[in-house]
Amino acid sequence: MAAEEEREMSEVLPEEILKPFHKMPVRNAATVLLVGSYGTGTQQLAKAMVDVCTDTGLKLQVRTTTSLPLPEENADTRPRIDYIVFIIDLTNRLSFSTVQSAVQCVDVEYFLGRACFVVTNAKGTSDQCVEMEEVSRLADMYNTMYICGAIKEGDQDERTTLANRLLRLVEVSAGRKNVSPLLVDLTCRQLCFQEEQTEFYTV
Amino acid sequence: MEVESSQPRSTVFEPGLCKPVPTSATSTISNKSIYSEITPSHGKLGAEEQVLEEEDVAELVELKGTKEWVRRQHVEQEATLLARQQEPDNNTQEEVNASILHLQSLLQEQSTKLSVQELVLERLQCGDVLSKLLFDSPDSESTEEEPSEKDKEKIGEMVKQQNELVFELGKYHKDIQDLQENLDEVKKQSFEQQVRNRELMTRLQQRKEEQQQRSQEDSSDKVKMLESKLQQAMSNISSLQHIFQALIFGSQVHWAEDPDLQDLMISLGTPPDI
Repeated sequence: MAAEEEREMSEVLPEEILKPFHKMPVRNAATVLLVGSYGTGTQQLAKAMVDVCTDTGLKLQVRTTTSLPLPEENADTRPRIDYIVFIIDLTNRLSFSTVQSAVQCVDVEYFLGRACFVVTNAKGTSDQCVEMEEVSRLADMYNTMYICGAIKEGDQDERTTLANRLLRLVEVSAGRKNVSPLLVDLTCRQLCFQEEQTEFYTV
Repeated sequence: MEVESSQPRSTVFEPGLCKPVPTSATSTISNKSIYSEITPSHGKLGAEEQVLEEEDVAELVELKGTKEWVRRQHVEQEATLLARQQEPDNNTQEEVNASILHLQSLLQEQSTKLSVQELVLERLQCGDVLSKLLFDSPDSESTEEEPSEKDKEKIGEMVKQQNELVFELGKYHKDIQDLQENLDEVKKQSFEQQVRNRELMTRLQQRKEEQQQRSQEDSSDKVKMLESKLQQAMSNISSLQHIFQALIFGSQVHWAEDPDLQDLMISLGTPPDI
């Protein structure tokens, strides 16, 4: 697995890797990139985020893609990507493999509070073909949090909740709040608990 | 790949509070109380001057927000640059964790302070507006609508009720405090009593032990004395038995023919058994 990953890594050119600081930020504006294969509900989530954002005074631009790296044609006109959301559908194996290959085209800076994984269809276990453990392993490998939610048509409230949550994170990345995304990312982790845990096991 | 965007509504953004504040009559009054030091004159202003003043305030707020945003971007960029320049060292990982924990606790303190300050500010603003509504005389140049008598009465009643509740709360607090003091006093007394009881118990225990010791000693002396007396008495009895026997032998009486004498001789021959 490590050898395969190394081979895949060598195929990605340095200029194709998405970086957060290679373009200037824009005041009161933010751009979110939703990465998810077909059928994962990226369009619905994008619409929900835009609907939720109308009350906040933020000019939100949501871009969706089914794979990374992004095409070079729009590279000049494309604004700085402030936040990346990787969507994994547990009933769709392709979505997981898409995300696995997409994370390799993203600079490590994004995994310091400027990216997250969204896991859908986590409730019903009968038709899942992606294990939750695989997702958590991927999230641990990239030190990034994952959020479980619902995006499909019948889950309006859950979709809105998820959109709200993502919007809070996007606002932090865009510099609208008094904290940096790195600080928010650090405060999500409980370093104290890890220390206490080791003490418990040594006793 | 598709693109979607949103258009924002116009709102006044207060960066200090980090939330949009809708423009309304009450908030303009509160904004005046906060930003009064910025305005050039404190006297009564005309309508046009008021509008200009509000525009200036909005512009200033926007500029301040932009300044803060630029500062945050600068801090982030500098932090990223510093991180890239530093080489990762395993020995300092624990130090980094410790400093992060310390900073997290500092952050929590600061955020709670900020929340408290925000609450206080809101309360002051509400109080200011309320006092102006209740007590200010109507101004002919003011463009705001006067609250009706009914509203004033309602607010007055609410304030009265609040006063009564606060007064009752104060009374309950005092009662609780007195009860607490009494409880502490009683606890202290019971503790002292316990200590005294323990002392007395130890003394009682000591005395009991002494008494037991003494009684054991006495009993052993008594027993010895009684035993010796008994020995003496038995030896006396046996010597008297022998003397009596000798007397009967010496009298040359045929004691075997008399059954009574026979029994007597036999009983005088058996040693005393007590």
